[in-house]
Amino acid sequence: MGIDSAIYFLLLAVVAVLHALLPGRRRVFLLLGASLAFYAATSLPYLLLMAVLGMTNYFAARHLSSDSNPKSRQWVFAGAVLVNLCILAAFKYLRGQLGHLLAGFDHGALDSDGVAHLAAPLGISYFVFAMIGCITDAYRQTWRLQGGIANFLLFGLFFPQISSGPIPRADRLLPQLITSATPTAEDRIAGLRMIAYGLFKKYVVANRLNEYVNLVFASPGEATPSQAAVACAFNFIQLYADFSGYVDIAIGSARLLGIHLDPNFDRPFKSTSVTELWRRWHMTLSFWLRDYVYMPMLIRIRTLGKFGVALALVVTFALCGLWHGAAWTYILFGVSQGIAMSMEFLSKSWRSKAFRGIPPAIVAMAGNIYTIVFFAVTEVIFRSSDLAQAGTMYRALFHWNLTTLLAYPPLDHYFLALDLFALFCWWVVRRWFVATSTKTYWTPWFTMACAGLILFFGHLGAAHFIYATF
Amino acid sequence: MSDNTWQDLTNIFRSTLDDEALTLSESTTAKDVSGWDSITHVLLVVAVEKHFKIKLTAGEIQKLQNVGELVALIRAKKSVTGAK
Repeated sequence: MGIDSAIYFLLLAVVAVLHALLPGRRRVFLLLGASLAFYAATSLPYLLLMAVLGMTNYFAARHLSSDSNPKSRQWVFAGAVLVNLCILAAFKYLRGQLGHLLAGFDHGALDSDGVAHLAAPLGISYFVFAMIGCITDAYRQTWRLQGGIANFLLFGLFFPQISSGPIPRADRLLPQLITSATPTAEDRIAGLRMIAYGLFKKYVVANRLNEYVNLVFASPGEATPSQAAVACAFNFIQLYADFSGYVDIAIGSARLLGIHLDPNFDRPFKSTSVTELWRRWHMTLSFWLRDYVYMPMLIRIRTLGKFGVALALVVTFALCGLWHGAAWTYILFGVSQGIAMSMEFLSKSWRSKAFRGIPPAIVAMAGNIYTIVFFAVTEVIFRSSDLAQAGTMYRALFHWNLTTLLAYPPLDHYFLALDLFALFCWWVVRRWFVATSTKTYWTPWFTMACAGLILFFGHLGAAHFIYATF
Repeated sequence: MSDNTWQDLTNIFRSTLDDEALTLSESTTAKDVSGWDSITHVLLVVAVEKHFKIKLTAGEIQKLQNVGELVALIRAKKSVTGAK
């Protein structure tokens, strides 16, 4: 059940109505029931797995939140983290082997090539990270477990966020679930407009741009530099539209229930450095990595000084890449981000001296262009099915000679015109979206406009959100 | 001498963050200081450890909420080691 499907919205509507009718204490059971039903719709055996994993984490968190002796705390913490990571690793990186192992059961179905094909449990990456986060906070004694097991399981399995995040933090989400406040009118309006905007981004922008990108990536060897460049730019834009669209639907859904989820994007195109970009892009993942990988690592290698910082950055972002999947393309993507951030850090004092005479606005603009170009170019590796395809795309991008330069018209005028129109629509809709945050009475019109645009210009092609595969 | 701690710390911040105009107070946090982020935070700690000849544990570093706590930690560590 994708969170852009009709049945999801039916579930959401029913839950929202019941939620408003129920007293506070009962709401957790409604939301938990809905979340379990949502998950069961994808896979009942996996739901059992997630429930068991959730309960394991609950007992670990409970132990770590009590005044237990330091030795037992270390064991429980290490054990819990290990269990979480093993399950994540098994389903992300050992799927082939696991598939063979489970070939006797339903989920180990063999496809036509006789290759064991095993789908990962929905949202396992996000769930595991959320669990490791709260276990670590409990171990560090910066957070204590509150509420019972129902609230805790809901924290992990909350249906708007389980598919693709945002990755929740226990200290921010769990209290809200326990309090279960009634959503205000402001919550409901905000929720509605975010869902409308998210669906617009997915269907009018992301899905449409995806066509062009797919075409070029399917045969990169035949693309001209301009086609490759447009594909590069569209890839970046559609990834943002797709993922931020999903996030808006997730956050908007939660708002309808009076829950505030953490944001995942904060105007990333404004970034003037790759370092800044990662504070504005996939924020919950980036901050999770900072708090649970980067800082602990750097603190332990701090005597290495600036080199330690660079090393920690590269390793952290290599892991960021690896989190997306066990492929060299993802790892290389991550490493490239880490290298860029290290270079930015190491050159900081040199740059502030070198650019002293230049107006800050110009420096910022140059930084902005560099960041967008860098990210668009490295997202090509992320998108590619393997390094060979990425290599061919890069060759297409940079292989300039007179004949290819003259072969300008990118693929198809009509195609491109539709894509550009979609981007123009987005520009307009976004301004309206921002305006409705203060002029909330425009929300019904805004919602209807989004619905209209989706109906008339939407591309109902891609059935899933990109980040649901991670 | 506690007076020196504040002045020394301010100097460390100024040189690590490359900002000669920086001033610190008890409640100053990373949010209040431009350039003090997760990257420079650990470098500040390294500079503090070097200057005051103390060693902080990972747990202590991670728990620091503001400059006031850092100063208190420095003083506590110095009194333990007897360093002045």
